[in-house]
Amino acid sequence: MPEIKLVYFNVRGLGECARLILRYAKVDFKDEQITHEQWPEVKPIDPLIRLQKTKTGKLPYLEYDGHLILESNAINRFLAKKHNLAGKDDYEQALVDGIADIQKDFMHAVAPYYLAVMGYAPGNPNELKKEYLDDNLARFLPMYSNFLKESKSGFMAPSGLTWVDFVITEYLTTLLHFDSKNLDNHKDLKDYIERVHNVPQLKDYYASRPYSKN
Amino acid sequence: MEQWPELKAKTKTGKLPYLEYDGHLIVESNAINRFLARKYGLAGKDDFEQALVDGIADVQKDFMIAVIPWYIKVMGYAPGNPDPLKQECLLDSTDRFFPIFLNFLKESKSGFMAPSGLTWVDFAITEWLTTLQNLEPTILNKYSELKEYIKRVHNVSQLKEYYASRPFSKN
Repeated sequence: MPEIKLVYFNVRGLGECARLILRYAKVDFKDEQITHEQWPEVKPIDPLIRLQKTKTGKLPYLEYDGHLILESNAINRFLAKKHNLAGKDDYEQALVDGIADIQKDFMHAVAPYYLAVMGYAPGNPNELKKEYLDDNLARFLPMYSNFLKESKSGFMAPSGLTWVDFVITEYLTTLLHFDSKNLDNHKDLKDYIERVHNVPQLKDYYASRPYSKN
Repeated sequence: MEQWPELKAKTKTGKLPYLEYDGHLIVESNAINRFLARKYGLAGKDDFEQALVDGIADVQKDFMIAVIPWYIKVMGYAPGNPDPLKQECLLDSTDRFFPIFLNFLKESKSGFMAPSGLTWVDFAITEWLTTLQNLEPTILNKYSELKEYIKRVHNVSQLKEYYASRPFSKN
């Protein structure tokens, strides 16, 4: 059995997908969670030391059987491939990869609003909401509805659940925590979140995991 | 660029590139790149190396995103003077990301990002470095290893002639 350790902050954020894949697969792993207060110790100030420890100064990272893997989607795809959550063939894997990249674009577009709401960056969320949240909800959510409609499986990929469903539903959950009305015009996406949360291998975990705003 | 408005309506996401492969539509550049690379031995030699390459590609994307506010003004894709954004978006970003790329190169020992040799992320990165040099010719002055890295990729035997003869494209 490979030794597996995931290191990320004590929030869902960009680390939760990896946690979900491993729990779905019932794989033993160390879920090392860093508080924001501890982060300066883990992320050395000196850029050269930072390169040696976390290479990029960012979390999550995964230690898998002695190998270090960086970047959330690289980690997610690596773990998903091992546990049948990557897509059933090359085409479907490319579809899943593409949707994951769109999700990243979505997050980047909303970021100024998101960072202000979380207090990670200065700014008044109310002033940023229209341009950075509302306009992007209007741009990206219909794309997700369209992918779901085309797949016909209830998940993003035609063959069923894949890692990108975890990434997207975690982010949509965060947006709902910011404002429970954010998905009011998108019942299909609310249903989608519920569907992922009811996957039998994960139902208990979703019901009992600690609340994390983001 | 003139044809774009009509074509845009037909694409799934309103964006390019897209790939049509054997009747399948594939969207998003890195999804396309990874799909093709896996078919032609350019994705990384095993799962661990593929994850390394994927991770470096995501770092590269973060780099581009950090530079973009300046980039789109310099290219004239957005109105306004790029100069006020140059320090924060271009120079601070290169200070942050160039050392990370150098570190990956140093660790791989192959002269490319992956230990086993050339992979698709070498193309993604060197194209971006080339663009940055076109827009700001001094940008690699303190990074001769990155200049050599670009040359090394451009001298890959299967591509040498293509690189030498392809039309100039600023970006």
